Amino acid sequence: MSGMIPMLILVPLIGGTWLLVAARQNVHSALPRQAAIVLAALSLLLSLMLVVVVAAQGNSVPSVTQGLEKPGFTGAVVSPTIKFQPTWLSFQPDSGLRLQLALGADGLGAAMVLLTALVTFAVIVFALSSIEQHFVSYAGWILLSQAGLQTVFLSMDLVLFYIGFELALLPLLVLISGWGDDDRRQVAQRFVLYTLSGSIPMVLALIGIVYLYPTAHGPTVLLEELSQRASEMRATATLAGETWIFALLAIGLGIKVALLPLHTWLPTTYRSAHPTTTCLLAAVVLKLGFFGFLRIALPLTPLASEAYASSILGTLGAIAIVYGALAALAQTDIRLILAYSSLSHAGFISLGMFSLSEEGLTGAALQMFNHGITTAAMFLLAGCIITRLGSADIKSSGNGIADNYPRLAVLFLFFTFAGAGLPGLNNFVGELMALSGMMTRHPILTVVGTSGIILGAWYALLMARNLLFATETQTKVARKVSVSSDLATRETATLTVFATLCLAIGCFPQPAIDFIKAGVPISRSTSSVARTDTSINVVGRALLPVNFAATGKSARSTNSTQQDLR
Amino acid sequence: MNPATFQTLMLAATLFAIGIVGFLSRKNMILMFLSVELMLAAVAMNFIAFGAHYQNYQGQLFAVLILTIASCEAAIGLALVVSLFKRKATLDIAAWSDLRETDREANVEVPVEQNEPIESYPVLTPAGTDPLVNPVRVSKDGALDTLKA
Amino acid sequence: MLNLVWLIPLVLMLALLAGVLICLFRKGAELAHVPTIVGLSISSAVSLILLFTSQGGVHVAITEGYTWLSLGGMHVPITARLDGIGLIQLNVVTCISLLVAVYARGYMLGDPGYARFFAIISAFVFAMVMLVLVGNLFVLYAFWEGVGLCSYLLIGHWYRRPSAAKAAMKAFLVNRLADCAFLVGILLLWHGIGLVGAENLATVGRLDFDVIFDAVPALAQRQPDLLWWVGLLLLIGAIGKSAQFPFHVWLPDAMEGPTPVSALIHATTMVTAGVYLLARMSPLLLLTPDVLLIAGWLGAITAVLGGLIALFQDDLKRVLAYSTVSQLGLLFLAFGAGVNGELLPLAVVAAMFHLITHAFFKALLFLTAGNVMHAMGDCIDMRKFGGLRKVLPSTHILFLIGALALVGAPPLAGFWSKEGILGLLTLEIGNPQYGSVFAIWLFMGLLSTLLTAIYTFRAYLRTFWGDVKLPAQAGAHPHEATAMMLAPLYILAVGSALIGLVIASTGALAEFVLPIPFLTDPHAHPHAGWWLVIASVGLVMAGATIAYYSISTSGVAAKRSGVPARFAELTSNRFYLDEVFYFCLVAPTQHLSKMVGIFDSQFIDRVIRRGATIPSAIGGRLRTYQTGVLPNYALTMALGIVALVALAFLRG
Repeated sequence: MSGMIPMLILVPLIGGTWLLVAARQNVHSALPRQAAIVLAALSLLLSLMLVVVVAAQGNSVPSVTQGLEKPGFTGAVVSPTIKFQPTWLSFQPDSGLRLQLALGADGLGAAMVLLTALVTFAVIVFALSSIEQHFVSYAGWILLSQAGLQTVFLSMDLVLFYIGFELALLPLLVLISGWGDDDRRQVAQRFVLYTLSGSIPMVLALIGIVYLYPTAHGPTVLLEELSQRASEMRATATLAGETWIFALLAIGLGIKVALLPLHTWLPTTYRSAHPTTTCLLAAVVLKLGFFGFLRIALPLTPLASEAYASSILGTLGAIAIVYGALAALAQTDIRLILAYSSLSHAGFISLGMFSLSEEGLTGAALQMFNHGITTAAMFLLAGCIITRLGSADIKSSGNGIADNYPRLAVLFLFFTFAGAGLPGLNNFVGELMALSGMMTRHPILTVVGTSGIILGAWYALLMARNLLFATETQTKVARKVSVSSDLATRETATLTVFATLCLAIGCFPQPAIDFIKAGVPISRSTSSVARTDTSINVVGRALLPVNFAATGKSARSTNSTQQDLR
Repeated sequence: MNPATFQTLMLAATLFAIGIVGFLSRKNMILMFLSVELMLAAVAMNFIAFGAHYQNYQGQLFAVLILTIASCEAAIGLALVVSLFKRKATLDIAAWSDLRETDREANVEVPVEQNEPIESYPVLTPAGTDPLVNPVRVSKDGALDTLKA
Repeated sequence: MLNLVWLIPLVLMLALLAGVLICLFRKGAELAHVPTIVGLSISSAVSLILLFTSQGGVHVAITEGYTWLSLGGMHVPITARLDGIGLIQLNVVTCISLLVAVYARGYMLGDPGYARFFAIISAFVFAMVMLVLVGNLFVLYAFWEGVGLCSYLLIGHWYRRPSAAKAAMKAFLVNRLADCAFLVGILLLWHGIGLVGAENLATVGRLDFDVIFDAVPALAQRQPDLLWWVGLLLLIGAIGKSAQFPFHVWLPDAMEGPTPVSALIHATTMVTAGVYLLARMSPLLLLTPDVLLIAGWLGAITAVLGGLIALFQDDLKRVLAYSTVSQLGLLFLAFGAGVNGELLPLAVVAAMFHLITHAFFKALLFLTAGNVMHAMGDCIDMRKFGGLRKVLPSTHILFLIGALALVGAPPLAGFWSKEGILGLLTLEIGNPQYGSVFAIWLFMGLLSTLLTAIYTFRAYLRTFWGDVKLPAQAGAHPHEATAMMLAPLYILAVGSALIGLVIASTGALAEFVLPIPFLTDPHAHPHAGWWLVIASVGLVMAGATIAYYSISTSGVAAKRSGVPARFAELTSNRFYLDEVFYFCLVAPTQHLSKMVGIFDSQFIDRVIRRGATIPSAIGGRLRTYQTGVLPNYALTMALGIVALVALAFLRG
């Protein structure tokens, strides 16, 4: 069974390379086009098999062996459910030193693998109609980037994690600069350089981690062994030793997740790239950083996380929720609205993740998957809308597209509400858990984050109203598009699958939570500790008007008697 | 240390210093070459001083070697300088800065124009003729004009 | 018997699925009403069965569903919890929905979105029923939002109209604004229960109502400020959904939706969800009397405000909308009486009573207005028609019954329920602590009674009396509604007429609802004094007279007679509250968002770009060392050698 794991990386890698070669040779038959879909479907199938295998083998909830006497956040041991760790997969920098590499999957990894495969499949399906030129090479590069992304999500050691992290960028450079707006070359360059500049602190931090947790056999890069050592060395860990590692990782991974203020690459990149490329970017690439936090930063630097994560990074997340929503409100380009909306939702994930509570972390992990599905669908639909309207301006839709393209309109409205956090759909579950998680730590941040609910609904509904329905102020743009029909059947079918996933996770979230929570790096023993009193009373007293406090409140509380009524 | 050795070494060091400062601060290729020779001489003196100090002949041997090499190098170097001069008609080392960064300007000293014409040099009577009998006149373009008697 | 409970939402979910399938496959759209009406009939029947077989009051029936979410500190099961309050609300919802759905079969006939309409009606009733049924506050919030979504979809049913799409968005967003506060309140409560209930791990993380009410006394003792905030935030959530001041601005605009939608959602079911929430959470609010005080004030203000604005509206549905706002204000006013803890159970009973009667007569009024609108060719502006009692005789009688019930003419339903509320207020006038407040509230309640009478009779007279005037859109012969549309109206009329009498005389409601779990049973069930009855009847007659004179003296067209023009303009422009809302909330946010957008693209980006030029700046400086001139390189070499030699010397 574990042989399946490298196939998940090799199939898109080899397939993508073959497609690129076929594109170069200008093979004119329909074979490469069909092959692209087949390859994407094959990776999807493999990832589904992985999910089934991981679910069937059950989740061993990770435990912490020692060091529980220290209160606060305790990282858990990373223990993959299914592992691929052959002895030949290692490298020897010098004689006497051997670093073993490993691939593996647990609940979180399998979920992200599934997300990547699903999104890639959807991208290729939609690219069939929206990429006019060089479809085959586009599909090839998409598959290559999928290979890089799967490497990250399947990696169980630091070296493969870093390799995948960087390898995913190269195909993206080609994808962004090859298809999109006129300024795409500069934007692609900026995106890659910005992200790469975050890799320097990250690689230093990774090296620091390797030497922070030495084992008896010499340094190791395996996440299992590192987290095992981390839990053993819990009693002797020092904050100073971990702080610089955490800071460097925060910068490196923070650029990837568009943590304020390192986010400015996001709007321009999402706007200038082709919408199907942006779909991959927003749905999967944005989650690489969060995955890094969950796998590496939080469990392996627990003291620094406890000290700094919820205060600094959590605050940045809460600000991002409001900031992204406000900025989205001001935009008229649909791609920019969705880009800032992604920023806002990434803020929700940050809010949950950096609360370091069980609900928050699990909610963030689940929300990574949820947001991926929702945003992928939104960007694909946005691409269809742009093709049909001829422009990306939401004010140019004339009388609204709901009449002409009913399938498009229904799906768009569905995913708009999914993104706005409507209960019964998936984003609500993740957001609720994230907010609850932060409520136990910093209630003020939760209040700030909850305002993202109204702002999120505002810009989403404004976009929906302008695009789908008729408004008074509309400019009629002369449409020079060739597509005048509604969504194709294959596209509708793909998005229906996404919608079903949204509904399923929204109405029955418990199976998804059980699946994903094994990958969440929190020790279960800390969750049963009684919550400490927070500053809510101080806040409450500060804001209470004085005259109300004086009215006979205390008299009432003695009046009620409780009856046992069952 | 022996005061004599010390003084010789000091002299050698002084000459070396003069030589290196001269090399680093000059623009004229031949003068830079001169400084290099000075440095070599100073090094030779150094060897001799140590040879005298340790009472063996290796110092003197090496000094002779240095002299030999210095003269070979001088021959080749001056030949190169002459050919460089033929290309650019200037002895300024800054004229040969093609490997500089392209946004800098070369700091070449422009050769000064000679305003006075080269004087005409006296022409000697050819051997075997009496100047009083057969005087030689020089025409305007410098050609010899032998008057027939 | 208990498992019948799940039949109600199940049947509605099946109706919804059937509706969705009809919409997807575009087959059988003419029959789209069938699943909805069948589902609603079954659910009404089941709720009536449950009503009549339950003992009510003390008996709380809990039925397990499935665990929606369970993780560490958070446990959210879906269970059904039925007590007296819940059963009553359930019955109101299902029965009125059935009647409105039957009416809508005739009203929406021929509409291109027929199938979609009924599918979303099924969805709405499903969400509303679940809202009433569930026993967990998180799940209640989920269906609270679901109801808001269905309201959005139904208000915007005719999405080709820009005003409808705008109104739908406004309704959803104003609701969401209140829901933000609601969610924060819920999370605070969850956190608070976690703080005080840590000893009993079984209760940690659950927001089941019984768990909440068990924990609130401890919370009141140890974290009173938190409890106050929770109460206030829950109240804000209720206000948003029930369209009280200042969140009332969405309800009049929601009249853009089809009339059955206005009748169902915006008069009887969704807007009562706020009142239902307060009734549900009354054991918690018992311990935060300040919040109930605020509720009372907001209710009183809204009651008067709604009445004032309704005076000069020209659109019949708008009059009814503001009337709804005003009547809901009365419901909140009833809760205000719960400031005195002993009165809270009675307040809940009075509120539920008025909720029932209001559901009947308001639905009746809206549906008859729908008849008028249908006959007048979708025109509902009262300036354009008149004298319709000859044209639509049955509608006329039905509207009259509804109007009399609304103003509180004895012995129709509205009289009994309104007296219940106002009578509650009279009980505590002597109280030194709240007496003056209650007196003011009583005055405002009576004022709203007067205003109700005035605007109701004005609307009635303008529509049905006077000379027959028909708008051009009405066509040649405006006809009375079909029998299918009139049948539910007759049922509603009978209800409006008799239900108050039945309930008040037998005291059945109080017996059924009380004792409310976790609240102390009041020992006395007081009745309103006679002077109050005489006062209200007198006000009704005064209002009718004023209305008659205001119409008849200067004719129907000129309606501003005798009233200062400024005041009339103020009220007909809704006190400019919409504009206030816009300028205080909407416009600043839009400006702020523009500033954020500019800040993001200009400032932060500039800083990053400046940062990106650092490497090339450093490179530029370093480049100056490449002169190409030999002596410079020689200098570097010399310095290097000196450094190495010095290093070798120092290292020894």
